[in-house]
Amino acid sequence: MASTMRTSAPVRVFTTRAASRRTVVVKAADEKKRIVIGLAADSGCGKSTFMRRMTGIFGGAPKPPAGGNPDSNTLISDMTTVICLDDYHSLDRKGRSAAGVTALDPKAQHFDLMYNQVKALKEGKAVDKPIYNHVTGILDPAETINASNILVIEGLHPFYDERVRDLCDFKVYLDISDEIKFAWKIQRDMAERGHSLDSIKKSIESRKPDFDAYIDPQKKHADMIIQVLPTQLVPDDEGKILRVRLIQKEGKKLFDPVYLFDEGSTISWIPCGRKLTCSFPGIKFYYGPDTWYGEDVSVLEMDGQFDKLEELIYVESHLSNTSAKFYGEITQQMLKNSSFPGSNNGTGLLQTIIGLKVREVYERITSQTVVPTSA
Amino acid sequence: MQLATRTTVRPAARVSVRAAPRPAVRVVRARAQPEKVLQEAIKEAEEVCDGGAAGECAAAWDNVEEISAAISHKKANDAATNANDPLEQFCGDNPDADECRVYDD
Repeated sequence: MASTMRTSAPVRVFTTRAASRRTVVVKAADEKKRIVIGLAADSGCGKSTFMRRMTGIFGGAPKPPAGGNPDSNTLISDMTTVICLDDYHSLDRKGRSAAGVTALDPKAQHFDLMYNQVKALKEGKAVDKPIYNHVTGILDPAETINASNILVIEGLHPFYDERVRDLCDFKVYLDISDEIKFAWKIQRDMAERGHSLDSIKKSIESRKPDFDAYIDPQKKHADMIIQVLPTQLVPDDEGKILRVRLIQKEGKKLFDPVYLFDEGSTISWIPCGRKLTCSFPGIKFYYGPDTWYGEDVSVLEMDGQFDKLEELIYVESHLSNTSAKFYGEITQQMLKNSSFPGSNNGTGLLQTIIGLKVREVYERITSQTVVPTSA
Repeated sequence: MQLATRTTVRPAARVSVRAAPRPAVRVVRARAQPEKVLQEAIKEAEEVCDGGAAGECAAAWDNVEEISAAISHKKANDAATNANDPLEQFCGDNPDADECRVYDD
């Protein structure tokens, strides 16, 4: 009797322990850390290319939600979910025309819904997110979005509302100068029927006041800014050769800025010479400290374009703190995406570096290791 | 072994053959014609800006920008997913054709 009592009692204790352990495990899964990345830029500034480069680092091609609305703006891969903030328009195309406001105007945006849904996704809950259809200009029925390890919110206003801004663990702004924006839009739109040089010019000019008032000021909140400027190497009218600057905030816990040769120095470097043959107009790098809206930043700049891969691996070998996991990872990523726009100049290089930084931010927050793809 | 792989390939092919109305759906989607929407939006913007208020003019040109962006995103997506590659299209519908078979091992 006594022996059976003894055996039965420990069993009971064991089962309760097992049950409590199980609940602990479930809790741990619920509290799994997720990160939110914000990307701000005007339309036609290369957000989608940047998205593809960044998600490519985590592996798997991002796809729209299977079987859903064919015009959905969401892209899902194993690790990442990218949502377009245009889905939080409070006014559709007709509504904005009637009210006389552009999509850049915060009046056309539903920030409470944006905050609630981004917060819910960060906490691991699924949400029913509306879909803004860019072709028809109306708000389509909602789609269900599940929480993912990395949520990327991209659009015009990710840092406009303070609550949404504070949810972002890493903030990126694509800052395209007016000259380059004009050149890119000509390249993009001139082939379309109906578009003329005049209509492109008018479209940019009429949107500029709202852009300057509501979108541009967000860049002071970003952790990293990619600035795209006209080249200083040669007179360039078409915006084909670019001077691209990566502005990185100093003193952040979640990432360390990339540097060239020696951290904190000011360096101007032309890699072309006896060791490397560059075609006209060559490549020029700059690295140095600066200030950005009163904050300390490091700037890494590349002017010019690559013609061959050797140039890139040669450059990569002189960069430090790139967050690459093996020698040549940046070059490998650039090669993998060689068909994307900007693959032969600083935009592709610096976007890839930011992608590696996003991975580092994710690893530091979750203390998990991401295995590099195709390594 | 070879027989086994063949039998696993075939049912997949049958399913896609049954889903033959797919191309028809694609054609319907193409009928949305964003190009036409763009031309109308540009025309409208030019009319609105001739006499209208600054806000309405900006909103009209913003619509043009939105449609232009949608067109270029669609083109970029098609290029990235090989949607315009005739062989990829064919293999999407006929994965067991000689031209399309891919064995991982």
